[in-house]
Amino acid sequence: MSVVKNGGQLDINDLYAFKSASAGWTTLALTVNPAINVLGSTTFASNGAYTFNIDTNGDARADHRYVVTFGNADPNGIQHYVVKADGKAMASGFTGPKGMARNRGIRAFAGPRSDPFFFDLIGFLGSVKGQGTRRFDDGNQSDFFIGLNTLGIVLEVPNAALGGNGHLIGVWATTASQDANGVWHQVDQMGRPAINTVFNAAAADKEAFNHTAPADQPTTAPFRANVIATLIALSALSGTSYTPEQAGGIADLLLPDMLTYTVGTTAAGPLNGRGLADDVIDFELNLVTKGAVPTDMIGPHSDYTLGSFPYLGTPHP
Amino acid sequence: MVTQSLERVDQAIRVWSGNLARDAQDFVSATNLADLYYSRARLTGNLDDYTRATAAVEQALVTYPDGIGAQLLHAQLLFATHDFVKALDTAQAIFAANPDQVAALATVGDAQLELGRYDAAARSFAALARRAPGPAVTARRAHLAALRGQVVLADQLAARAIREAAAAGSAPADRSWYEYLAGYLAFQFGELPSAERHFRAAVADWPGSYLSLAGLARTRAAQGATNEAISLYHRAIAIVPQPEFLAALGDLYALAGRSVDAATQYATVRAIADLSKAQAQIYNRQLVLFDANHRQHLDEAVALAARELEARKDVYGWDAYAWALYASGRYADADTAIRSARAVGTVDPLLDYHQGMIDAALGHTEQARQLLTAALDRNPGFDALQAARDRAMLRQLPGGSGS
Repeated sequence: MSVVKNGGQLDINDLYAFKSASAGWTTLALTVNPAINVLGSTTFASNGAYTFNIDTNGDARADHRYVVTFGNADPNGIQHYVVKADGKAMASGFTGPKGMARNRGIRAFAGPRSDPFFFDLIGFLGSVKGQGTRRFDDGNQSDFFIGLNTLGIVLEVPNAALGGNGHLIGVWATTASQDANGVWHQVDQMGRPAINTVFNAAAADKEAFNHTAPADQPTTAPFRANVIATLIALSALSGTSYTPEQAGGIADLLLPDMLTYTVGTTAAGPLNGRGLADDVIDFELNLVTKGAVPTDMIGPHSDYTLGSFPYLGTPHP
Repeated sequence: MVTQSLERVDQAIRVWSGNLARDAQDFVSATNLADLYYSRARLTGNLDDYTRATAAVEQALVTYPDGIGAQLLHAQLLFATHDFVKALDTAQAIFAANPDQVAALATVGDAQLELGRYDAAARSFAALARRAPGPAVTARRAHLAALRGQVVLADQLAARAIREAAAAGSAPADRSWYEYLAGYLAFQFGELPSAERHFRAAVADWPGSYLSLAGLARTRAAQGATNEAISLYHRAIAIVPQPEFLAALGDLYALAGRSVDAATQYATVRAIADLSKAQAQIYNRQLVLFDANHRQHLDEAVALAARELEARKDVYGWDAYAWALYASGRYADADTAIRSARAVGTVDPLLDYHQGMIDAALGHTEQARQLLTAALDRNPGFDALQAARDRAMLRQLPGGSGS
């Protein structure tokens, strides 16, 4: 879930992984910096790195990394970028409408796009947070994100690079910034949508979760306990809360926080990759409220082109 | 202060307006929209944006009265539209309920200052300086020091605010604001080279700073560069036609013998006076002084100044009232009012001049001579038209040779 605030260039919105239009390819997409057309910077961090981490052997540790870095913006806001796979340069190009690059067997795009995320944020704030007068089911549902832009990084990689068709992988994104002494600091991390946002209430826990490797999340306090406590609390909306055993079972599904995906299959987020039209919010509302809140009544945007790279729609004017 | 480009502010306004049109209960978009209209109002001086911002923030508060962002904006908008009493009440209520919201404390202090409650404002700013040190509170303290006649302290604080803003990496429009304040105080204190330097820095940081363009115009006029001053006033007026700028430009034309051009500017001041209620409220004081200076609509000017004083007993409220009374020939009442204006000790040649003229009318010749001389000594061009009248009065005073 994107949290709309005056966020930085390294704030991750959403991560997607799905089967490309071309047979034998997988698309990995990362959106950062929410609402760039209304709040945020329209450029990527030139002192930052945007990484797709891929686990191919089930230990929730990265076996491959696709790292995207950016140069300084020119007066028109255009930046040169480089994509490296495990340290080896694979593609380079310029951000913007013609932000595509294709080299050494991968495709890349980086630049402003229409945000594909869809969610009745105001209904959520009313129904779940008790803020305002809206409710999910009041018939006034509205997609808060329908007019918003985001910065997108889209990579298309051959399935063989991910272990081949039928191989189960885990994907998560990280961002990092380099300080004046050249030391890298991780800023944000995300696998499945909204896990950190929903389950870690305290700001300190959110921050710690962002800096805990997925492999360590199930055993690092208080993350698993937070998931269980939140599930028990929110499922009370259904009349009967999850039992601790049920909640524990779900926690073991959600942690480590990675997008799990069987390469070559049609994505069905958030449990098998995540496609641009997958209604991950409805899935998660159902899961955490034990069916009490089945939907936010909002469906996917129509302005992305499922048929072709880079898939994310052209930016709103 | 939000310092995005106007183009991006306009774009953002379109997007949040779209959200609000789809969902009238979307208090997040309504609050964002209010913030953007408020930003645009400050960047462009377009007063209609204050009305739009107020409407948006009220819409947000109807659906989510507890929204702290909207509450703070509401208090700031009341302040910006010169509803100082309500701004103070609102900000105090927010701060009482949310002691961690130092932004509310800032608005409390700002409103206290504008209402002439200087001791209370000093306490608020001192608390703010402890909680949130930085250029914003330093500048507020500079303003207060100037009102209290603490010239050296005011200059020091204004300079410190500029340094703090630079050290904090503040955006150009913010840096421009601190340079403007330093220039404004330097002019008031008669430090013309310093005023010119600060105003030029302010314009360099933010070329759209109409306040600094007008400040520079006033300074250049005081330095004798009339043509440059006229051109600078035109640049300021092209951005925001404030009555004060139009009146000053008219005065420069009048002094240069260009009476037709002067009349055009003066007529525009009156046209603005007849405009919307929001504008009248914000520009009340400028209009009172204009009418008093030009000896017109005097009953209206006195009534307007008196009405403002009911709630807002600050230095320049008393001064405007005194000057309107003086123009109306009510010299004894004017004398009482100008003494209230000067009670705090504000150093400003315009106050000396006003009291000097009132003293002259009352036959207090020696006092009049002293004050009229003091005003010119501090800043020989404190106001193009009034400085000329000051000199003329000095020549007329019995028993002296004038200056």
